[in-house]
Amino acid sequence: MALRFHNSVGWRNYTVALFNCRFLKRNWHKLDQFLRSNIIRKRPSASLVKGLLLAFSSLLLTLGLAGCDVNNSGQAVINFQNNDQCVANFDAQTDYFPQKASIKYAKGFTVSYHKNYKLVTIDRPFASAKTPLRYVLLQCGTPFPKDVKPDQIITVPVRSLMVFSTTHIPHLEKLKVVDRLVGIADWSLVYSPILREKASQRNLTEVAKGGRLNIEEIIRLNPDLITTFAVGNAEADTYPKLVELGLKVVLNAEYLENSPLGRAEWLKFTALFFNQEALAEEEFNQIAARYEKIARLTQKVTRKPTVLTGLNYQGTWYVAGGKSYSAQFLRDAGANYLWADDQTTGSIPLSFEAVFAKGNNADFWLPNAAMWRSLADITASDRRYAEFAAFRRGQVFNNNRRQVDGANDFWESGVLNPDVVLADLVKIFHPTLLPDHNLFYFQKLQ
Amino acid sequence: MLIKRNWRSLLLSCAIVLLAILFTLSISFGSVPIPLGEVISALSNPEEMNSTTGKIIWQFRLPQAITAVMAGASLSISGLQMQTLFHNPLAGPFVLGISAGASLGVALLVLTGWEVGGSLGIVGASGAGAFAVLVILLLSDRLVKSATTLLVLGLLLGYIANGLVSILFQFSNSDRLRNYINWTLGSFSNVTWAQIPPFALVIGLGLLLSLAVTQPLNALLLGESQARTLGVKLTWLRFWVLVSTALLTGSVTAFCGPIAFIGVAVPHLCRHLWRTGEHRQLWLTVLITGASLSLMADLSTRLLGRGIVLPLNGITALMGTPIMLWLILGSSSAGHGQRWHL
Repeated sequence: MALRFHNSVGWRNYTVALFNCRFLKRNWHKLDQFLRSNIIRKRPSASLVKGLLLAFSSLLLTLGLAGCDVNNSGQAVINFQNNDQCVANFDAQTDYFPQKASIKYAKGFTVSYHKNYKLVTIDRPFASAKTPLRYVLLQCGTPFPKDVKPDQIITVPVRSLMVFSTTHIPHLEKLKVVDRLVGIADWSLVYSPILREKASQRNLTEVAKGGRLNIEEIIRLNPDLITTFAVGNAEADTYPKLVELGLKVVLNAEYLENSPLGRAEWLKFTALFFNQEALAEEEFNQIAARYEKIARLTQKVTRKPTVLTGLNYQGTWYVAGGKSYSAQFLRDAGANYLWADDQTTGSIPLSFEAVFAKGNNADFWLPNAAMWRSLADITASDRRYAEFAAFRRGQVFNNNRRQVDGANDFWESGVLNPDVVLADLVKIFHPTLLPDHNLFYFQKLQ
Repeated sequence: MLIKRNWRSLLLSCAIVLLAILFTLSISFGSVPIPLGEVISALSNPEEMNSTTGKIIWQFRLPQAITAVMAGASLSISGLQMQTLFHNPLAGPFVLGISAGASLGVALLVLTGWEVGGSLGIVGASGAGAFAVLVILLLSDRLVKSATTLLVLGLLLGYIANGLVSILFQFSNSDRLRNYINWTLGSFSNVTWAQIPPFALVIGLGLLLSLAVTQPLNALLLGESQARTLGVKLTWLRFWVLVSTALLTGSVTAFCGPIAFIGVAVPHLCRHLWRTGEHRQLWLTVLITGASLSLMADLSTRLLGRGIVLPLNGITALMGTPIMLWLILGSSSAGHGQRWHL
């Protein structure tokens, strides 16, 4: 109902306000004041038009409030085509979430469904977290459950949001809700062509450039939801500040998942906020099916090439741990990862010589180095890299085929498309298994 | 007097032996365990150079040990010069803002993502930054009268450079920040054989210059006016000390990053151990002790084993501060200013 008023007026400043009945109720006197001050502007000789405008807007406010009341008391019925709208007629016995998510690969979150809310638990929001986080996702227009004490209550479906991690952007694209994005953290890290186009239309705000929050802009836009991540470091993490400001912030811990499909399944987490479980289920099942199919191709290979990852950063070479998601990728791609027996889930810092001793005869090298676009770039950085057999044979593959400046699509859409990443890897290690596939994220350095 | 001389020579011989031992340890101990016999055979047989062990020793450990020796010696010598020139026990190679200038050069390269020239780009940028600071210092040296003003100027240049670096942070991304921060942590492991000759050449020039100014620096210990009456041209002395320090610290910072504490701690340690402030004697002892301490710090970065490498500047700080503390507390009981006399 409120929506209809909004459309007929077309008044941008009230977009958010008129969407949200509660906001309107709480702040109607402010809006009224705002309207008066803006329209009359201390001129007693205000024209008749302005007077009429004031009268009209006051009427709107009153009607808006009345509309909400009517909605809540359940007397006005709005056509609910799907579960994307507010409930007008709350019925305690109705299951408002007929579509439910089931989690198969992701270990980091669980969801339990109740009649009019979902309870989402993030067991480990960041690696050093002591306590889990619990979010209640409350169906819009339904009463809040009294017996639950969550960390955040988010009214769903969410109509406007900001994302602070580029890995959340592909989720929005997949769930067809990218139009609801009102802000992103830092443009320089975003690859998505869809978002880039949106930016050119000037309706997406950058709110945390270089990791520094633009608090005023965030408050002005007042999103229904902010999705971000935390690393457990008070210096780097922005979410405590956002929570303190009373914003609706949820942490996404997909980066802690140790399997590629586990990371991709966080699509379902994002879907919970839009009541898009069915779509997420369908999309993810396709991804998982394709992934498993490619992984099955490599099960019969007899010769598994040895693989080395990472590069030397000023004396320290970070290689992927044997229990990391990268190691899982290599295993599924039919490769013999040199540190496969290691028990680390993250990365292991090693010295250059330690890596050289173990990896100088490796068949393939995947450096994952943003700045390397050719073999010459590698030797310019350090001549000793040329001693690796993989380098001498030209078997160096980098994941920066889709990269513009600091934005690498491998770390963006690659997280949601593990099937494509796996196909790339299989194409690299066993080209005959996928003859028709063209490398998407990786490129062979020349 | 003769006995005292002999005692000092004996101590110097011990320091040289220690340096040789540390150098050998540095080549023998790394994240990859290699038995001493294999180390020796790899070093003696040219055919062994192409085996994995040979490559590790020739391509990784030997350049790293040589770099550590050169860097430690250079920083300590320039620290010695700075402490005398500014009459300040806390002065070190970096008081002139040379490392800050180098940092600014590297920050401009790494943080803005130009990424030209790989490792040589970083060396070039760092050298250019250090050189720019040197030019400013030399130009202003003609205008300022006292060493203290020069010291303050160096500090101010440092603040400006650091301010610009923090502004660059704002326009960077996390990957580039990580690269920059890694550079600031310091490391001897990035210097390859191709870079050692130019590195050694610049350092050799700087060391020769520093050797040439030992006598006037001795006179300066007596105070600026005393030195002037002894015929020392202070502006001339300042000029050459500045050039020498810039060559030494500029090149070390360019190749290894800003290495902290060694340059400040080693001159104190040597004055204390050899009980002298005489620069001609100190020159060799500081050179050798600096090289040893730097090798020791580099060895300590690999102490944890399992291929894990600790940041070099963390180790130099942990090693340097206790030495400084011990010397400062020790000297306060032994009498004021004792270390500063001949």
